[in-house]
Amino acid sequence: MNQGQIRCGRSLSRRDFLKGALAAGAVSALAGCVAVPSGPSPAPAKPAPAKPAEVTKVTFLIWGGEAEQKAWEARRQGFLKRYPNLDVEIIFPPGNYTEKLTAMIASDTAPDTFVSNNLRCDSQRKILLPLDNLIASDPDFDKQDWFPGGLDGGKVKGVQYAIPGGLGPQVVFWNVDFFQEAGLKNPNELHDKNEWTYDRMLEYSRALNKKEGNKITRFAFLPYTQWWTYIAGFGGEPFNADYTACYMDQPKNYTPVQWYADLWLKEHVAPLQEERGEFGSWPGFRDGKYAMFISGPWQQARLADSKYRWDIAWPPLQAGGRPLMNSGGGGSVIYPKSQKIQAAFKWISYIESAEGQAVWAGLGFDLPSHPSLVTDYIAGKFFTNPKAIPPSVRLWYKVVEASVKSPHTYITAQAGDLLNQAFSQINTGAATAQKAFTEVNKDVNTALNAC
Amino acid sequence: MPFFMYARQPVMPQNGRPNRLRTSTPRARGVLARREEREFYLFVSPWILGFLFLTAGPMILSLIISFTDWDVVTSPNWLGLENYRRLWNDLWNPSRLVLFQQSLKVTTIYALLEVPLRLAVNLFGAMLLNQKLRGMPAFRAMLYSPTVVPAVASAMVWIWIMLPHGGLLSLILNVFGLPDQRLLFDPATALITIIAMGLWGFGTGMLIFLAGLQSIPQHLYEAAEIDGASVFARFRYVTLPMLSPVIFFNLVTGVMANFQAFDGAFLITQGGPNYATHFYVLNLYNFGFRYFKMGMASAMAWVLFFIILAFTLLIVRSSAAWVYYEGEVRGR
Repeated sequence: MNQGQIRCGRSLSRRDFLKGALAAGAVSALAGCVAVPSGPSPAPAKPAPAKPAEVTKVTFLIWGGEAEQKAWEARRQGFLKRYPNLDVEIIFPPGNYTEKLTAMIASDTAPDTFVSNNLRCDSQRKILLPLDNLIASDPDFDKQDWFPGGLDGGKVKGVQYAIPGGLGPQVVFWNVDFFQEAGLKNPNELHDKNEWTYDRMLEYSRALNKKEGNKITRFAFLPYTQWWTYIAGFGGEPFNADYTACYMDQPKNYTPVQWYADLWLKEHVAPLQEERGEFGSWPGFRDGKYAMFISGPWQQARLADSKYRWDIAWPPLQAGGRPLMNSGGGGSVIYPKSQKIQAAFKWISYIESAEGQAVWAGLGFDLPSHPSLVTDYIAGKFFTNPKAIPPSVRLWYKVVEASVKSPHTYITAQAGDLLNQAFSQINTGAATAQKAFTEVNKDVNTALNAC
Repeated sequence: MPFFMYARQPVMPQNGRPNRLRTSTPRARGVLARREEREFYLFVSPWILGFLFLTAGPMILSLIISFTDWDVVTSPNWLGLENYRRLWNDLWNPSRLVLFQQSLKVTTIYALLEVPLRLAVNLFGAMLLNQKLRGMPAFRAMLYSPTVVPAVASAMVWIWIMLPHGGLLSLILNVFGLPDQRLLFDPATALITIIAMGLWGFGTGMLIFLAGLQSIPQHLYEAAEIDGASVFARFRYVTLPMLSPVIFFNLVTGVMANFQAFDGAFLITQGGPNYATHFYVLNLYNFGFRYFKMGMASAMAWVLFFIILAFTLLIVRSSAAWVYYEGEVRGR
């Protein structure tokens, strides 16, 4: 046998072998191009319900875990019922949402609709369609059924670019059993007497910490929420009205952050950075490792299975302080080059309509931002799990009325990074709030103006 | 030699005599050569196309982008050398807005410590696995297994180990009466901790060393032993010189990989505490994909390219003094 030949029934030269392999490869490649459904044959399909001949389908890019995906599908089902001639393909990108959105826009495969996390910068990048005309001309859009200023969260320089989502007021979640055990009053009663201040919260925290020997087995407070909450609660104002100037170098803004950090650095009523891994995040409150924490309405569903009695309370407020609320700065938007603008608008206005938000609220996410839903919400009608309804559920909308907006969706990512790195030094005690924020303030001002 | 020149080489037999089978007539040789040439290009074409469209194309594009301010979505604005000027300025007057000097410093320290440490650990592991013991394949699989663990999974495990309070390391320290440690939370120790964690996945380099060790002719060791060489002397005068091409390869690829370190900082520390683990590529990623300043990110990428190129050339130049190839005769 010559070199280069392979015995295989008959003599096969190397060239023949290569030709054969090439042909087989080409056939495989062609076969791969043919759209043949894989897997078992589908069962005989049920007769599909009659659908109008012309169905306009829009695309919607959004992030979300399993629970959110179910909630979005529930909203889609409601949308299909409401508009039988419209449909939506909801895309949940694996990995980073913003990267995927940017890549889709850059490759001219942008979705018709998506959720913008930063309207101020996205409007400058011209990837948002102004919605004012669409809102004005759509008879289905109920402009009256929004809390005063509710739609403003979707505006930039007076132009409506987004339909804002639900509301995320920050309240105190507190363990009723632990408070009673320590002989402490209901924080809401104190609030009604203007006595539920951060000073009082610190007193309560000292009473709620639990030790066994030298070891702390329960902390009074979980450092969970954004530190903006404390600045608002002390009456600070870290930015100007259009978020182009930062005032974190002023005592009224950095002092509350230092107070917050001292909860673990000085008082040790909250875990130090290095202790947080052991005590956990919100599951720690559910499991009795913390007596209170500050967060928003999405915690209700998570805490439903706690073996402890829990409730919500007003956030503590110093003189001149206001509660903080996640609201606006982002929302559902339309890509300006969409070929289906009318259908796209129907979708984004539907998901944030009273009907759409009711689905979302029912699964224990954001608070509906429509006055028409308030009565049913506080009556617990939307909750799919009755254990997720706190006794003081009525409180939510009282806090909404008193709240200021959280700045985190209004500032640029780089400004946020600079401030968070400054906070990380305060968090570990490596720098005081005054030093860390004063050092970084000038750079933050530059970053705020560079979308 | 470029690949196309290989394609045009005449077919030369190993023994120096003409290959009768393949070169029976000049005409036949021409036809065969042309066919082989066609086949060569056919089979190499996926790589060439991949290189042109997936590597060279984006590289050229990124060079152009580096002279612009581009947010990926809107049209780029031509800036000329402004991005490079900002990087140069930051080298001498560091700013939190650019973080070029800080990230370069962190990455250089990381590379200078991690590369030699990794080489040493890889070589040590390979020498252990080169022993003739029962069950060695199982040991090899065990030592190689960290390499196939996804970066995210290993990051989660390391976070748990390094938790200052209740983490595995602290628990072990506590057993010996030592206090909790906060290695990842202290700017003074965070980078060293990331370096130590990086040494865990040493399988690939170790495997290359193992192959190198197994290719060292046994008679060299026997000759050294007859001459009375100790174990250390055999390692110093036989193993190391014979392994020097492998060390050279691992050194070059290690420098390239370590200047592009990203996973540990991105998954575990996010560049903190206080920028102590703010790696170069993490900074580049932030500019490109979080702040949407692709021009600046591209400029950073090109600067990194030239830094790596400079280190690589330095190593290649120095290799003449310390890399030995079997059969090589020096001084010709």
